[in-house]
Amino acid sequence: MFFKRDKKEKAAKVKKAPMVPLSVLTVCGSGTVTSTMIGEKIKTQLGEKGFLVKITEVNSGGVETAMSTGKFDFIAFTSPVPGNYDIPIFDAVGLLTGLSEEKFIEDVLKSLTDLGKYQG
Amino acid sequence: MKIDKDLIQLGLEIETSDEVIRKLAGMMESKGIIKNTYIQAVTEREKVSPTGLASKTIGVAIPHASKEHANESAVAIGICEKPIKFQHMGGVGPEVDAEIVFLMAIDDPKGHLSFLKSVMGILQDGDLLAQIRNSSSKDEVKQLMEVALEG
Repeated sequence: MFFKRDKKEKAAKVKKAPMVPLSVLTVCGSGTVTSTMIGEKIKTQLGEKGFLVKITEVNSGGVETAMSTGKFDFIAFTSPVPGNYDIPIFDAVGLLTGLSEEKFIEDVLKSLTDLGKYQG
Repeated sequence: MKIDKDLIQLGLEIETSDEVIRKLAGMMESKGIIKNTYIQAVTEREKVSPTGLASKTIGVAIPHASKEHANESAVAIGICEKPIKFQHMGGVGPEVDAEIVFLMAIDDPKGHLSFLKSVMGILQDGDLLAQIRNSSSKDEVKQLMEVALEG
């Protein structure tokens, strides 16, 4: 019976935990199509891990402006990102094609762990 | 997006990505689907934002341009006898040996989104990719694509 109660408490705890806000910049060639596709996937997959994700979509040319006017936790791209920025940046093509979706999420979670935003 | 038999080309023996784009765009041009700025827009875009996609088996490429270069949405499909090198999407990773090229004309980004989702589904289905690659007729390609787009 102890087991049962433990499980209940745990479930309650999970429910109560506040969602961690996360701001993500997604980059593709047009700023509308594949950036939207990866944005949707990031929202869903990281949502399951307790993050409330806000997505901002831009094309490669829009990265500099977005970075200077907004604050982001990381960048995910399907089109090369010009310039160097001091936040983590991830190749999201595998997320798009579904061929290395798990690895993408693992890499992102590892980076968020390093940044103290995720405790596994 | 509807699959048009007249926009399918089998057995392409072409060397470069620029050539395959021109060849497939030519079929679209004769139907008035694209504007005269389209070909240049696609080849320029390919340099900045390449569209090669590796799968576990057969590589594909999805060259396209933004909507101002198209009069309507359509896809031209080229099956290559000899793989054509495309840079990988994202600019990271080795070049892709593309054997199937989906050249897209877009005037409705939403329609584009659902078509792309279907293409991503096809990429994960090695058997279907091989069936499309090995099709012996345009009708076969059309039929396989239509089934893929429905699912």
